[in-house]
Amino acid sequence: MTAAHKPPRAGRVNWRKVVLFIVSLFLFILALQLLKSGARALAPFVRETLQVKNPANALGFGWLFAYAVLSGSPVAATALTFFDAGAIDRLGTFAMIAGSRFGASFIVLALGFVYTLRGHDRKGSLTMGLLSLVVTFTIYAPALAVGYWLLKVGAFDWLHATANGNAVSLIDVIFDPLVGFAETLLPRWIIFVLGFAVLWYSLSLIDHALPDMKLKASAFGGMARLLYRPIVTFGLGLAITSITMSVSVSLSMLVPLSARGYIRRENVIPYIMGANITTFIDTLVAAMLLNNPAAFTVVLVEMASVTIVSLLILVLVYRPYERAVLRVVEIIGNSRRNLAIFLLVIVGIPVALMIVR
Amino acid sequence: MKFLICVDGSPAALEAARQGAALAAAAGAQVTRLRVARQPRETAPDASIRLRVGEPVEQILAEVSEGAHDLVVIGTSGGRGLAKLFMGSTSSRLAKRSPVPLLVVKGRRESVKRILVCTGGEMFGEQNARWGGQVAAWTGARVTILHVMSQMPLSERARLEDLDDTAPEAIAQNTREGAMLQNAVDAAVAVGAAAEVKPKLRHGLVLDEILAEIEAGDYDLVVIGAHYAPPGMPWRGLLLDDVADQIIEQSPRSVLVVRPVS
Repeated sequence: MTAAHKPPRAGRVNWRKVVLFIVSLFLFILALQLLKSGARALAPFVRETLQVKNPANALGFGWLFAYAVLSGSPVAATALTFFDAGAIDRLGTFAMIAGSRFGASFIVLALGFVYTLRGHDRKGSLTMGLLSLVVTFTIYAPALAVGYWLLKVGAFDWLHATANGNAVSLIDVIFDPLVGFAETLLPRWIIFVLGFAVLWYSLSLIDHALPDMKLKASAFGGMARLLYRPIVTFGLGLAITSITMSVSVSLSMLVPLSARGYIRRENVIPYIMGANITTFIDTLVAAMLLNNPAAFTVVLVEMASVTIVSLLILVLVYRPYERAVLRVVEIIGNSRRNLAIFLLVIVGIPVALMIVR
Repeated sequence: MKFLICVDGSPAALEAARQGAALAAAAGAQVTRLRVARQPRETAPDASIRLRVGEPVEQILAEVSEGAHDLVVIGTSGGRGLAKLFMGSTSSRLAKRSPVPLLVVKGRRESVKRILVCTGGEMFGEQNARWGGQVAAWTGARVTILHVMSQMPLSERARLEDLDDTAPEAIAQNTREGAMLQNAVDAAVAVGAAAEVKPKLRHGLVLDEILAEIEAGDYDLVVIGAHYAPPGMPWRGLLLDDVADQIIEQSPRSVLVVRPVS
């Protein structure tokens, strides 16, 4: 092992990661400011050309957008900037963020599909992607109804947070000149595209700036052999993803736990359920940085509704839910025909949602 | 050997006493019958029955400790309402705390002809097999050693070939599960299980597969390891799922819960 590749000793600060994190945070905030600037000009395009006029359209739009960019977080943050610019309303923002999660869960399946095309066994490549997708769909679908109701009755309207005044001033001082400079040079829609590209890149940089987590040496090292309580792996998914902010990255954290690349079925489903909640943390931070209290409330409702549905399932019907999810995954993964039908359905639904009037 | 049989006059306890006594006779064990009364004014129906007053689980544990018993036998009604709740909770709490194996008798069986030993995936699988083999040695029962693989692939690099193994294949290839099954078979045979001792591997959710095997194999007794937290690591007991408790609750057949000894 060369000196350049030596891992930092325990307790030592990894300055490379610290610098990377600061750079990625800078880019993240810059991206939000660029998106905010560009989104205003795009409001008519979103409403009239893309016909995103109701929550169903916004759900389909967020969903397809996430497919297109193979990621949910940039789409969720973009939804907030559209809201900030008045292009979509509160319910539309809520639906678009939920749609981004439906689309984001596709990434694990898409990667698996690519591996299948490269000649890997279908079972090994697709199982985790399908499981992630089915868990996300079955949690978020009822959570949409819960969140819609919470927003309608204003259950969380009293609770909002923004970055504090000093931070906002600092952000303005640093980023206003940069955004202003871009505005003088480029059309707004290009600023929006640029902002989205920077956002996408900053989120991938954040992935690299994450602290190294070694689950293998912890109390959770037996996930491939032992059966943990569902609430425990739910909490673990919640905790890990509050750092990684990505369900797929959190799932990849489990790979080193088994030399054979296995995990117990019983452990992975609640883990994904937990991860599906804290994956919103970057969106929550984005809402705070946009200094928009209503946007913060929307993200909070998103998290609360997914948490409520997840906990109800865990407490009341976990075993039947677990069996049903695994059965569905098995049926879809059984044949190429079933997989093709499933893929058609999950592309067809958001397209259909886009044309609902 | 010393067996402690808990009696309370209910039909389930009477059946437990009958089956416990039959097993004790086969094992040549000495039997103590214990009744736990909640009120001090209650009396034992029979002079051969020891009477203790107080909370059932605490009193049974105290008797186990004082009498140096090797096995506790208790009945569970499988009935309705509070009775089920009470008996179920007594056997569950005993299973968690008893320092010796606990036989939870369920339903009427004339004899023990088939035993299902569940290996937990840890080193304690051999202990379960030793107890299953021991009971088989006393009763002449046939033994099936079961391991359930609920593992699924995490990534495209997973070793898929082990995920569909049968027990003979796993043993022949000396996979982790194969080695564990072979050790359990050897442990059962070593303590005197003279009839058939057969390894079996099932794939699916652990609880579901064990219950399905109990049903499919028409077993008379299920042997499973108790929920275990190593000394000094009580948090481990909080983290891990209590499969033994769920088997006690859901198994239609008697369950022998073996206390792991590290």
